[in-house]
Amino acid sequence: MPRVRALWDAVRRKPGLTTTAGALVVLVGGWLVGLPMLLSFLGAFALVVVGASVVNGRYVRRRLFILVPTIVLVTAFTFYLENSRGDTRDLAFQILGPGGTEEGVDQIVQEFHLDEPMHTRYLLWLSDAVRGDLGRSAIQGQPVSEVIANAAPVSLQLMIYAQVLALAVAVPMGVYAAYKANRRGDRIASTFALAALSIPNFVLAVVLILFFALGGIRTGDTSIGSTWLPAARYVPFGQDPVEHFRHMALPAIALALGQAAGYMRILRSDMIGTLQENFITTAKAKGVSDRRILWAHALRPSSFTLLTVFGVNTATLVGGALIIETLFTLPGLGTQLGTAIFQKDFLVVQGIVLVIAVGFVLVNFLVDLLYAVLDPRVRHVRA
Amino acid sequence: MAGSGTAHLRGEDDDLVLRVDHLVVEFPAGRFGTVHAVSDVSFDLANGETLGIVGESGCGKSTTAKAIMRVPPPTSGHIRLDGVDLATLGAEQMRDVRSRLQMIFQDAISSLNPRRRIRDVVAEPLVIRWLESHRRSPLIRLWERYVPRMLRLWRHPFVRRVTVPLLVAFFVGLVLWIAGSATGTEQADGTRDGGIVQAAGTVVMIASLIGLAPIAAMFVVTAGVWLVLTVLLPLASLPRTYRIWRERKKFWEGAEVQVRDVLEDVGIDADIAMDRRPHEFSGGQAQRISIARALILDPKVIICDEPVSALDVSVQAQVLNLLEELKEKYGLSLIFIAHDLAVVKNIADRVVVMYLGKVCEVGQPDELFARPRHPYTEILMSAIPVIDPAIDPRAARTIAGEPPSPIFPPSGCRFRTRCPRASERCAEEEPQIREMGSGHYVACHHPIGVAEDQVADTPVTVG
Amino acid sequence: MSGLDTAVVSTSSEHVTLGVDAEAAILAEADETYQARKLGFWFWASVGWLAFLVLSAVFADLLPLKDPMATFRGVARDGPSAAHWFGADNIGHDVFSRTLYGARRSLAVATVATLVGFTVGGVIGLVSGFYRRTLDDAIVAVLDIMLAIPGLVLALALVAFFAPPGRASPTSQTVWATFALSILAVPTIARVARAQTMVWADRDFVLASRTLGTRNLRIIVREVLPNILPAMVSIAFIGLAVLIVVEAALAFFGVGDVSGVSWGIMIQNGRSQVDRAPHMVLFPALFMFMTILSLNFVGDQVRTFFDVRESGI
Repeated sequence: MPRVRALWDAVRRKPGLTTTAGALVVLVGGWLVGLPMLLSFLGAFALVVVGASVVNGRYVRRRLFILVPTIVLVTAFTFYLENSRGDTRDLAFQILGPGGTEEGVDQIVQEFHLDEPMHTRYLLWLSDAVRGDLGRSAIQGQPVSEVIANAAPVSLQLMIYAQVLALAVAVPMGVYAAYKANRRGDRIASTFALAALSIPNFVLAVVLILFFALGGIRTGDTSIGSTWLPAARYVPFGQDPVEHFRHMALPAIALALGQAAGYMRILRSDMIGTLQENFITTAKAKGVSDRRILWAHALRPSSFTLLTVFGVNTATLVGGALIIETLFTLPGLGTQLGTAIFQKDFLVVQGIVLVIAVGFVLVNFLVDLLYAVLDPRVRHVRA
Repeated sequence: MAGSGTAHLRGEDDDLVLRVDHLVVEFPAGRFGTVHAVSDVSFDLANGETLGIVGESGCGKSTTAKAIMRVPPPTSGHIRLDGVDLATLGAEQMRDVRSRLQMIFQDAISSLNPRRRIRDVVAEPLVIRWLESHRRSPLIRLWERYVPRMLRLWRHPFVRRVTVPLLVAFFVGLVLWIAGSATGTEQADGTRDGGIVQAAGTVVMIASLIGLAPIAAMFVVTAGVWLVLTVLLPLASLPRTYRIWRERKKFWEGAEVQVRDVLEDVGIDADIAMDRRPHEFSGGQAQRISIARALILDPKVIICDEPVSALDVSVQAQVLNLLEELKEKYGLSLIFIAHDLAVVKNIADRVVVMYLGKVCEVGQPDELFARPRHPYTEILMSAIPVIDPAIDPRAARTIAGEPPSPIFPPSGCRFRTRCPRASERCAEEEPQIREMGSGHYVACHHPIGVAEDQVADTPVTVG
Repeated sequence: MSGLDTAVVSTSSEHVTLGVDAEAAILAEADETYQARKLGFWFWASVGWLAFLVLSAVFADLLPLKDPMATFRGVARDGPSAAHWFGADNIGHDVFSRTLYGARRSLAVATVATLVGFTVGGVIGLVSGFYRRTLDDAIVAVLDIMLAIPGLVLALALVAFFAPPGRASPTSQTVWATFALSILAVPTIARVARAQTMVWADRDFVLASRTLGTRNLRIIVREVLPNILPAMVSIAFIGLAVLIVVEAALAFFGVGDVSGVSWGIMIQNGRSQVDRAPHMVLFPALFMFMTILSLNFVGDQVRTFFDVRESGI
């Protein structure tokens, strides 16, 4: 008991930190150990909620209120969207795929309860989903949860690499640009950022593939480019780490570049404002070095917008980056979702939408916790 | 001091332009309670008089001003303009009245729309009056009366108290159903029987939907009616729009002349100013333009909400002089709100001192300065810096701390927490306003200069 | 915080998230010590490029261009030459004329969608920000949920379900694509409009107008709207850029009308040929890049230009 109490005290003192760490542990550990993904998600989420309610209970309760309705609404909406066209027989044929027979149709109708009204079907799906049974993919034949379990790590890895890369580039550049505000260094950096921002990422992907995977442009005997980084296939980390990173490099860069540019501009903008505040002038007058001022004093208060946008991006990327994955033939959630939409593989779409909705809410919670960590004012006032 | 009472109000036979009785303004403040911004304040304004209202920030002066203008209307109390109680007026009549009652603000530049030219800004009151003079079609008037009623219905406490719990109940039922179904036993046809939990969930869901149905129907029907009316609106207003369109030129010709005249009266060169935007002017000039806008309808009363607080001292004098001139020329009566006593002393004929939503003391400025009766007034007076080497700064009495929160005002006399003369009585009993000499009124249990045994227990009322 | 720039996170078509940081940046006060930026050379250069593009798209038929759908024999996969300025694609089409004609579809769809989003989103944001209270809460909740869904996925889903390629007419597909893009544009513009409305409706001049007895509609239209327009126009430009990208992405996936020519289709076709005939991809990509860059830049500049004027320096 005393150890539990000590743990609880630690959570109370630094709720944001401990519960975020705990949530990450549960997520990664669950993945490594092989827990069903839903379970580890739930565990992580519960931890996050605990942390958030210690920080500001009222706020959490309010957000929790919207949680279930949001997930229900989003999934119900998708469900309705998919099932709104075509009658029962059409749907049965869809599920059967090519080569469906009449007897097969009747069986499908029975099995999938296609003759029931839509809300009943939705509720049935929902109750199954909570148990972890998301149905069976009509096209691929596997259970949907398996499809998702195979595809999700790819997307998550891509997201993590891309976001880390984007931050690693954007934060130093943003700080530098704010430091040299409106002078030459800033102008160059900002122009680069604007240009990087303006390249649609699928265009960037194709160009990257051209120059880094396919050998570039050849005029006569000379060529500009290389075949250094491959642009297709996916190699799991467990199988071969080096190849894994080689294959993920181009996709991550393609995804990260536009993000980095955006983050850099946001950070630069906020920081220029912060650097004009009085407490910075005071620090300078006290003789604090420029570097310390930038990184230790000014960075934290300037990161709010960045954090918000970062959070929203991450939350959205949970659902996979459709275009990048397709272009680089990575078997992530994005490609699955895209093909499922086109092939009308309803259950796969539903399952992935559920994962996206849950992941989205989870990430938003984490972001709000991080707010409290960064800004003490939020801890007490926010409601 | 917690000044309630009407002892200081003058009689009916005096030439009163504005009379404020028992004004109360309160706002809800989230989950903290209510902000008691103005609590039972009364005063009057005689024709041609300048009434000064002074007090610290947060004492309710600006709120009083806005309440008189009814933006938004006060919680309770009577405001009589030329004897007519403004609360009894409908929206249309109120618009007529507004031409007699105008207001100028503290930050002049931000009280003018940065995207409009001066000629438009100053002419706006004329435009409004002209537009209102054209009667709207009956359909539109119906719509105008319908909308607030519809909103009042939607916001009815019953609707609120019922809708949210029902929605919550629905989702609770859903969760129950899912939980039951998810943990239930597998049946032959593939569905699951979740037993009691699932059944309970279904019941709750259906019950809440039944409860929500009439409310939803109410919303849909009323919104539908609103939608129909709104769609028909443009059609119904076409004739009026056409009429207005036809008169445009004539109106603007007349308006231009009036705008020029009033700009000249405030000392702004119309030719230069008319086509410029507010940010091209200095603070003092912008304030003049603001005054011009207030004057163009030839009002009787102008409420000046700290009009010179944001200006340099030299400009302040100019604007004050201008106000005096215009008062004569236009036959105005002014309510002048300020926190700077030196300014008020110059311009006001009569002063009301406010503290935390209550009236402390009423009297003529010279009298108040020479013989303040209320402890708060005395401290305010002594806070005016006087440049005289002979005065010992340490002897000057200053007031400690900040005013208490208007959400939780002190009991009895609101000033007692900072008052050097406070006694037990001050915590229990709210002082009423009584006369201390001709035209000098105070709300205090222990006024200055009155021997303690002479303090009467019952208030002295003057007719 | 300084109200300098950053209204766009990324023109990545994965997630059309513009509004959050735009809100923050626009809500912030204009930086008083910030140098007044005049509309400089690059601004007019961008405007010039956009004008060139629009004109050539509109008047493409009148220009001496080769038929974009015609195949020329013997030039397949040739690089730029005198006869074909941008070279030819693998079937023998003239890349240059296809690029210019391709602008038509991209611009048309994206512009219409932006206009619709601007109007609808603007009204929603104005109403929400002006009237506040429960209406505002409800609208914000809906907008938040709309923003949560990855934009491209939503657009794909809508078009795939309601106007699947191969089963619906080209017009129907274009209409649905435009509709889907409008839905993407609305929440972002609405959020910016709302944020701006909340800022401006609190100002004294609105209060002054109320004391005159002005009706709400007139206050919204005459007092608030003119002040929020600069920010909204700025975000509209940037939104237009994003929608061009999304439209191209849709075409890239073969969704929407693929019988015609658009930049997305060209890039999709050129993808498989990129090692042998890179010019098939590079030229439309270049055009796209320059258009989006110009739109972003113009949008940014519009906002900073109006910001500075407000402070009156």
